[in-house]
Amino acid sequence: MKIELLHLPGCPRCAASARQLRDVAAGILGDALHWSELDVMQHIDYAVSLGIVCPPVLVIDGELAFASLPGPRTLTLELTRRLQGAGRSAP
Amino acid sequence: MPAFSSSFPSPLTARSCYAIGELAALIGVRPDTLRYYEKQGLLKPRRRGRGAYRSYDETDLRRLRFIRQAQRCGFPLDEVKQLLDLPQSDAACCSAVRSLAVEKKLQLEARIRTMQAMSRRLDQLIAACKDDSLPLAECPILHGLEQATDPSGPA
Repeated sequence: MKIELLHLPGCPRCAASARQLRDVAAGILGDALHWSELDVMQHIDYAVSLGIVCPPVLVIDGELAFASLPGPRTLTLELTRRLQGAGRSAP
Repeated sequence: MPAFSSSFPSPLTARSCYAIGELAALIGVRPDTLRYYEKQGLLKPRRRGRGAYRSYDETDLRRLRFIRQAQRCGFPLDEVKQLLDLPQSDAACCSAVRSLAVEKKLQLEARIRTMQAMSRRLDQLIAACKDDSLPLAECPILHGLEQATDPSGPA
């Protein structure tokens, strides 16, 4: 699963949240996690195409999943939901 | 961060005191605009004594230029006030201003793309209208506008 954090580098509070969320995602997805952190100013076209107005945000598989950073529990629930959905739709 | 210190007057406009009409003329707005900014908490002119006229100084002039520039950049007045109030905020730092500016840029970029999509749609409609002699009921531009899809969608 591809998870992208679009943010403005330089915010220490965001960096701490990002580390925590990445660890949560890694714990659930393991090697299936493709985590990246993108500077929103360097990816302005991508950010606008996703409808981002207020970074930081989390994008999962190309979809704006969280318009503000979620807590660890909320992310866990969302990733679990997506994994279960993927499992059901698998042949 | 706009630093509206009164210790560095601009050499071109150095004046100690402006009446409302003078300041308004200098910026190219009506005096009512300055009164409105005051009502919104953006400007705080001094009044010496009861019923005295408003008096503005260099700090107000710089503040007013900042307000007008921010408005031209697309900031609504409530956000301009946020920017102006930041130096008094406990959490003031450059990153707060930067975040606000980035949010505004994202909004502007989204609006630019919507307008570009609308412009492309109008190009298509104009190209489709090659016959000026058609009755209004058969106008391809009006037909096209009636069937227009959301211009913010994929082009």
